[in-house]
Amino acid sequence: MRLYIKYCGGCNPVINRKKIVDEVVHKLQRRTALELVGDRADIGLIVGGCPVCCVNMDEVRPLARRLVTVGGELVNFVKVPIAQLSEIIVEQILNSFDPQWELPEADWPERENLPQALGAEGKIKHN
Amino acid sequence: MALKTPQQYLHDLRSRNIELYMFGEKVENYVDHPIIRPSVNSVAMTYKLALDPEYEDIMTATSNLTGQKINRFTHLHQNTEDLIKKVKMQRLMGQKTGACFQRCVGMDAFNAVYSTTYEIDQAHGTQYYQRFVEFLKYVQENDLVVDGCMTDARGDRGKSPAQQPDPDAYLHVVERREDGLVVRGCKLHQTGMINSHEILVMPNNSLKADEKDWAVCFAVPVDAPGMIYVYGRQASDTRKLEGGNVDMGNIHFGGQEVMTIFNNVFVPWERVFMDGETDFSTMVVERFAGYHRQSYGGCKVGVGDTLIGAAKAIADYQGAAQASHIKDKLVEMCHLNETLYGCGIACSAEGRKTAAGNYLIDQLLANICKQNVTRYPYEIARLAQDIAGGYFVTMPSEKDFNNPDIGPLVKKYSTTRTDVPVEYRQRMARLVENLTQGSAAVGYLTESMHGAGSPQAQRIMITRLVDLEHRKELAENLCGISRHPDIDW
Ligand SMILES: Cc1cc2nc3c(=O)[nH]c(=O)nc-3n(C[C@H](O)[C@H](O)[C@H](O)COP(=O)(O)OP(=O)(O)OC[C@H]3O[C@@H](n4cnc5c(N)ncnc54)[C@H](O)[C@@H]3O)c2cc1C
Ligand code: SF4
Repeated sequence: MRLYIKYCGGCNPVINRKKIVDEVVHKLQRRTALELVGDRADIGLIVGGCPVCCVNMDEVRPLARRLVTVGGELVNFVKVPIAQLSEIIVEQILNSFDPQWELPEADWPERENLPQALGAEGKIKHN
Repeated sequence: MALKTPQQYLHDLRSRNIELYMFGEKVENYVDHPIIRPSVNSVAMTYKLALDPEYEDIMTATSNLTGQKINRFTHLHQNTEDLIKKVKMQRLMGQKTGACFQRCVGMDAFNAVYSTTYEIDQAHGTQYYQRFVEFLKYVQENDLVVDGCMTDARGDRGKSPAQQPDPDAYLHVVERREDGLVVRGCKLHQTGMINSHEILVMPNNSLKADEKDWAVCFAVPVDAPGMIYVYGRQASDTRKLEGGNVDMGNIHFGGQEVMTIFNNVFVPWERVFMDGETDFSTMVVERFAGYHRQSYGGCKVGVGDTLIGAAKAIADYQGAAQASHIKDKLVEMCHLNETLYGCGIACSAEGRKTAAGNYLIDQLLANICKQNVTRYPYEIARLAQDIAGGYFVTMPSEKDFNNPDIGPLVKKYSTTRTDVPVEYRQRMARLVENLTQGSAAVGYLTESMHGAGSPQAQRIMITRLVDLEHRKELAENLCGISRHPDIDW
C-alpha cells in the first residue's frame, strides 16, 4: 500500500500527531507491505491536530485515491475514544484500500477522475 | 413557495388556534395583541429582508436538500462561508430590529439534529436521519419558523431527570404506541414559540443509560393537541398598553419567551428523531448549544450596534458629544462589541464538516464567544447608561409631556440643546432604557447571561477542550526543564 501522510500546521493540537502517526505506521507495517510516498498514493492520511483540520484539501486530494482524515479526536468526522485513535485510523485505512490497485495492470486514474470521497464507509464506534 | 412574504407569514399565524394565556386570561387574537405584536414584527422582518435584493445575499441560501433558494434561517450550513454568513445575517437582523428576532434557535436546533441523527443511525442502525431530512424539506419548502426547544423545567438542579420526585420536571415519553409516542413535560423560556410553525424538541442534557424515556427528540406543530402556552412577562411590558409609543423605546420590535407545556402530546413515528439513544444526548445538546453560542456573536452585536448608536445620539442631543471621555467610552463600546463579532466570525471560520455533511462551528471558540457575551453587553450597557445620564430612569411619561397644563413646563425643563427637539431626547432616552433595563434587556442582557447555557456551562466546555498539558509542555521546553524537540541544529 502506498501511503501519503499530510500534517496540518500544528498550531493548536489536542492530540500528539507525531506519536499517533508513528503508531499507525508501525501497526500498518505489521499488516501490509507499506510504502510511504509523496504522490500517487493509494491512501492519503490527513492528520489535523484539532477538529478544524485546516489542511488544504484541494491540494491534497489529487495526490491520493482515497483520503482518511483525522482532526483531533475525529476520524473521518466521527469522534472516537482517544485511546483507540491509532487502531481506528488503521482500520479506516485498510477498509479504504482496494487490493485491485496493486495489480500490475491497475492504472493511476487521471487526476480529474479521482474520487472526491473523503474516507471509507466503514462504521466507527462512537465515543 | 420557497420564500414567503411577511403577509403570508402573518396569515399563517392567524389561521390557527392555540391555547395561550397571559395575565391569567386566555388570549384569542394574539397576533394583534399590543404586547405580542412587536415580537411578531421581529420575525416578519426575517421574511421581508429575504425578499429584498439589498439583503438577499446573506438572507438566502441554496438548499442542499431541494436545490431551491431558501431563507437562510432554514438552511443547513454547507461550508464555513455559510457559517460566517449566518453570523452576518444575525448582526443585520439585530441592527434592523434592536431585539431578539427569534428565528435562530430553530436553525441552530435543526443543524444539530441533522448531524446527530446521521450519527445515531450509523451507530444504532435506526432510521432517524431520513425522517429528519423529510421534515426539514417540509420546513424549507414552506419557509417555516421552527422553535428550538431544549430547556426543561428541571426541578431540583442537584438531581438528574430520573431522580426527580416529579418525572415531568424533564419532558419524557409517557407512552409508546403503535403509531407514535405520547410525551409530557414543560419547556421553559421558549424564544419565539408562538411565532413559530413547528417545535423541534431535544433532550436538555447528558443522560444516563437508564434515562431512556428522557432521551427523546421530535417535532410537532405549534397547534398540536395538548400544547398549552403561558406568555412570559418582560420588564415594562404594559407600557405597550398605554397608548402613544414614546415610552416603549423600541416602537416596532420586541422579543418573546413562552412557558410551553406538553400535556400528553402525541407524536407520530415519522416525526420522532431520537427515542432512547441516551448515548447521543450529549452530542445533540453540545452541538445545539455550540451553534447558539455562535449565534450570539451575531445577534447581540447587531443589537449592540443600536445601543452604541443610541448612546452617540443622546450625547449629541445633550451637548456632551465633544467631551473626550464620552468619545473614549463610545470607542470602548465599539471595541467590546467588535470583539464579540470577532469571536462569532472566528468560530465560524474554524468550522468543520460533520459526518452528515453539514458544518459545525469550532466548539472552543464558540464557547469563548458566549463566555464574552455573558459579560460585554453588560459593560456596553453600563457605558450607555453613563453617557445617557440619569434622565432615562426619572423622566416623566409621554402623557405628562402631552398634558396641556404641565406639558409646556415639562418640555421646558427637559430641553437640552435648543436646536434639538425635546422629543428626540425623550425617544432616545427611552430606547436606552428599553435596551438596558426594559423589555429588550431580556434579550440583550439576561439572555446574554443564561441563553444557550449559563456562564459555568461554557467554562466546563473550555476546560474540556483546551489541552493544558500541551501548554505546560511548551513552557517546559522553553525554560530547559525538558529538551526542546525542535532544537536540532
Ligand atoms: C431570554 C432567554 C431566552 C431563552 N431561550 C431559549 C430557547 O429558545 N430555547 C431553549 O431551549 N432554552 C432557552 N433559554 C434557556 C436557557 O438555555 C437557560 O436559561 C439556561 O440553560 C440556564 O438555565 P436556567 O435558567 O434554568 O438556570 P439554572 O440552570 O437554574 O442556573 C442558575 C445558576 O445555577 C447554576 N447551576 C444550575 N444547575 C447546576 C448544577 N447542577 N450544578 C452547579 N450549578 C448549577 C448555574 O450555573 C447558574 O449559575 C432561554 C433563556 C433566556 C433567559
Ligand atoms: S437571542 Fe439572538 S440568537 Fe437567539 S433567537 Fe434571539 S436573536 Fe436569535
